Amino acid sequence: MAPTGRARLPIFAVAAAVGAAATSCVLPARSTSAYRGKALSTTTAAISALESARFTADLAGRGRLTAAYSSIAMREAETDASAAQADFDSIQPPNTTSDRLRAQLDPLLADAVGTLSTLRIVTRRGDLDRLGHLAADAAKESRALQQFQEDHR
Amino acid sequence: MKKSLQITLGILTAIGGMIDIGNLIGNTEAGARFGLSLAWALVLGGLTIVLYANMAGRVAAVSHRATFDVIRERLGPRVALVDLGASVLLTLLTTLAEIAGVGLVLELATGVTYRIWIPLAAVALWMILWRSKFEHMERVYGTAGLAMLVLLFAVWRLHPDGGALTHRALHPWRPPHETVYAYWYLAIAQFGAMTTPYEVLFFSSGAVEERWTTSDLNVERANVFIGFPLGTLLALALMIIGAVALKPRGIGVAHLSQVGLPISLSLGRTGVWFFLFGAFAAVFGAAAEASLSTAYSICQYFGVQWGKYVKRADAPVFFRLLLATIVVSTFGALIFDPIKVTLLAIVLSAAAIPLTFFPLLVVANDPDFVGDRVNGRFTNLVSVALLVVMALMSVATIPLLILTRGNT
Amino acid sequence: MTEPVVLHAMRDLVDRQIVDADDLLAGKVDDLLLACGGAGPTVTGLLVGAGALAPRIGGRLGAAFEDVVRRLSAPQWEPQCLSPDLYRRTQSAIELTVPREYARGVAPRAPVHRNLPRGPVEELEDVRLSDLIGAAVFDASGFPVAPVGDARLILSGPAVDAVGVAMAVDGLIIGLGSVGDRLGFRLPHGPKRPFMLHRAFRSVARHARLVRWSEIDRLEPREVHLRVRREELHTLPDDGI
Repeated sequence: MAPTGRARLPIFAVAAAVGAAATSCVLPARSTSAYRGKALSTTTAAISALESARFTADLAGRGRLTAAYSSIAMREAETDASAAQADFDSIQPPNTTSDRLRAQLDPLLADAVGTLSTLRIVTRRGDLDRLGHLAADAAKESRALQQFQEDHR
Repeated sequence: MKKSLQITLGILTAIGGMIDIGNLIGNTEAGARFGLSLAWALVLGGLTIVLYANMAGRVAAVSHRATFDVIRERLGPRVALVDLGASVLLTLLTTLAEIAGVGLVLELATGVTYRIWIPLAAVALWMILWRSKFEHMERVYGTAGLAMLVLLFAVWRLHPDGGALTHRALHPWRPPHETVYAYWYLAIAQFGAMTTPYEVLFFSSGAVEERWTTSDLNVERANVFIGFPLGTLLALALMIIGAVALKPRGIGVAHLSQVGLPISLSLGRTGVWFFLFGAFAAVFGAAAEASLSTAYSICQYFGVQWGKYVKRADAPVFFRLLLATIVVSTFGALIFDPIKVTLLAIVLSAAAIPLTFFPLLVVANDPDFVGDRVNGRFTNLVSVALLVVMALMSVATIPLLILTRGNT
Repeated sequence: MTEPVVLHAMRDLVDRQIVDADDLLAGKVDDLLLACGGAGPTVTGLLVGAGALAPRIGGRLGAAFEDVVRRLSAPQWEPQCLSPDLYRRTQSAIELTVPREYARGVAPRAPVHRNLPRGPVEELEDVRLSDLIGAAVFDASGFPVAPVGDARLILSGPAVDAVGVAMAVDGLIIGLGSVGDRLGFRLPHGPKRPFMLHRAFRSVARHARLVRWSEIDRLEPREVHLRVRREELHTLPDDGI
């Protein structure tokens, strides 16, 4: 006997919630504070990616990681930052205040993704000399994002 | 001499068997986000698995009955079926995550994408489960998993501030940017990572596979009271690594590669190789345990012959189920994000646990099953208290999953 | 005259593991086949197989379960019936006296879907235990009493380690007490701990009642109608094995 209409609703609600959680689909932000919250969690993810890359670059530069390992780690950092940027960009800013927030954050994210992309390429090529310089760029972008977090908490 | 060797190997197996991809990612992430503020959940989980695995092992050694066998008999087929459904779903998800985890470890070691390693790992898993003797298989990956002790060395070489860590562990604190929902969600995840039902199902079935009797209860106790706490220590080491080396840098753990970075910092390339080798053995072992547990529980529910302790021809359904489990999990591993699946599985474990542990508690007190080796008063007191905790966690899991949107 | 040996069907027989003469596992006792006679039904065989298990699950879950299992078990969907000469009861399992392949060869198969028994008990032929367990009970005045939880069996031989022992249904056990009963809490040598659970189940068990087979008037699908009023129901004797 198939579930009746009333019994279906809670089952589907739970399944949908678990499914949404498992695939982490992005929900819209309907208020300034919700949008700001999303912006802050995006910066956390971007900072994490940049710092992972810095850490990896430092260790790789000192010969403490294999080329394969560093390569994978850099690729993952870039993917994380890109995904965070894409998630954030897909959310409609609910008002003009949020527009300004987005205008501030977008370039910071773009810079981060760009640096991580270059880091990935350089690591894969084994070009350890450039790693230090790029790691310094990553540090700068990380600090900028941290400042953004401080300003908007 | 042989007996002491058995005990040693039993301990090694327990250590090697405790850490899987869920622990590697989940325990480290908890450290990276909350420092040692969630250590209590991990320790509580460790205590729970020690108590309940001991019960399962004792029941199996004395009555030669494995856990799922007992669940249907005592709780009836309907409740046992619900339990079976939840259990099979969990062990399938876990097998999926572990097979993918093997791929992730090999990817880090070789640079070749994990998706290529997944089918190879699945084939290797099947060949080993099909051909090798249970004891042999268990001891090889259990011993190899000892390489995970590198985690303890890594912690030592990171020179953590012991006083500060202890203070944080004893005075849990939630960072302001983390929600209270996230804290409790991760608390349940730490607990769930230590108490995955497949550990108990596998341990009790393994006891029957190895033909344990009452004279093996010393081995059983060594496994449980030395091996599992040491495994908990390794999980704690992961949390400390996250707290000491990743948290200050603002690094959150979403990939296995991030877990190895602090080890590289403290022990260099050699440390990383030990880590990868140990992780390979531990995760591969977990894949074997989880896939076996799926087949064990289904067979034990129906009373059909299971196990590697009989001729393959005498247990055709068991091996068919094992193959189906590996095939289904392999396809899943190629499609879904293994990290997300892992983290979902450990949280759902926490939700499903009371169903497995309650009948075990009753049976471990039943002279019909354990003779005069029933639970002591203190064991019962603590076990009942933990069961209440588990029931509360069970109820809170789905709402927290929704409220934290899967911890994103 | 020795004390009659007593078993509770659900607690001591059903869902028990069956082990064959070579120590290989041969399924679980999924149901009991009862032949209704003059004095009351006797157990003519143990039903083994998914076809006997599936109808016991019940509800939506049972329907889904039945569907899956039927597809996977074809063509051996029908359960097999093991007669008393093929098995003996041990402390924790049912032991076959023959290898399982032999038992599979000789044991007849029973149909899966059939009409549920209905009519006066004197006129009934074959009944399965699962027809009775969970059935709603109504007393002589038509008032509902608690549902059937278990069946009390009287053995004409030792309960353990004897082959071919005839088992007769003495009566039905009704009420919530059967939950704790099934967990073994009522047995004198059953679990006495954890203390709280033991207390809880024993206090609920006091409400269990015994309906002797002679006090049953007739059966309807999932219903048992009694000849007596609910005040006249017996408390459950303390049985030890």
